[in-house]
Amino acid sequence: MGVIPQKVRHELNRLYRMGEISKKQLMEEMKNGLFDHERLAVKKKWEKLFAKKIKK
Amino acid sequence: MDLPEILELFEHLEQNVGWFYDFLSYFVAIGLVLLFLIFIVRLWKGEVNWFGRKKECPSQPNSTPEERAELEQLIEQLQQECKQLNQAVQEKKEEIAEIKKLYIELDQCFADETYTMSQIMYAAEEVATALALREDFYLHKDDIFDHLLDYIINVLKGFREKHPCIVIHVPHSQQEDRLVHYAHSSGFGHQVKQYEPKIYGSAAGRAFRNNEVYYIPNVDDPEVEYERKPFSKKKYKSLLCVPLSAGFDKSTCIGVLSLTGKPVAAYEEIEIERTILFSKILYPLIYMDTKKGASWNGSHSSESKT
Repeated sequence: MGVIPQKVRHELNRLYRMGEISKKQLMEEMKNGLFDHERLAVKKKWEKLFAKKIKK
Repeated sequence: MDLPEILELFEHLEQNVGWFYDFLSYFVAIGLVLLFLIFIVRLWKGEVNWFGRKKECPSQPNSTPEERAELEQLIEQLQQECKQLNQAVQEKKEEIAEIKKLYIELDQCFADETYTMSQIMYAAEEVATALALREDFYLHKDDIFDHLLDYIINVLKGFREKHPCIVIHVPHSQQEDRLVHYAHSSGFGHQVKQYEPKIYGSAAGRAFRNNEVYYIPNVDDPEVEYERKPFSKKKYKSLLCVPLSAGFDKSTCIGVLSLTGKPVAAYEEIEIERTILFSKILYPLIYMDTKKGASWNGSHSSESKT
């Protein structure tokens, strides 16, 4: 988790332009967890809430 | 006829016929078996208990007609309430489904924003690197801008459908009424470098002279300020021109970033705003290169491939 090196970023851009990776893959690889902690924490809570409801 | 007389009659019959007591014993036995079977059937049906006592039937209470009417009314009321509750449950279920759908949508928007943040960070980092390593910037200016503009394109939705391309124009050094090519993203042909937009009579020129974002959802619209080039092979319908400026002061405008999109009305408001944001990130680099290049490090952008 963290900053992606410049060369890797450029390669990811190239792969995306060539259509070898999807937008979703590009997003995940580029983010690599950056700026995403809060979103993932909320998502975890949400999933937990609905998992409980299903069990009930 | 009393008991001794009956017994005497039985004796008399037995003596004369010979089979009377046998017949009587069979008769009594069959009767007992039938009674037992009847008891078992009634017990199975729930009409009696093990002791042969009758059970009270709940469906036929010993109630008056008034009480029965009251009970019927109560049942009707409960049924009505049950129906209302079922309806409320259904509504809540629909609400939950809608909330789930909205949450997924919101999460996707949030994911998109966090991804955009990463692209902003990387673009800012590469601008900082270019400013810090000037020699390298002049040597690889085309590539550096190619990568920088890639970050803008990355935050646009539907890359494959929109086929976004970016070109940056700056004021022409020899012709005051025109802009000139400065940098462009991949996706353009070499002729993009030859196009010099008019300050009056082109979309980029309008954005530059007014220092205002100019978005054309359809360049075929005759009402828009757009330079129609004869024999043009343009593959876009949408055009977004963003002035490269520091705030509202027109004198700070040093160029225009133009983004094309293949379909009509290709870009949403958020995409336009993101493009504006990236134009602000690129501003210091273009400013240093075009305005202060000479005093910056003694060299000039004309040495570059662009």
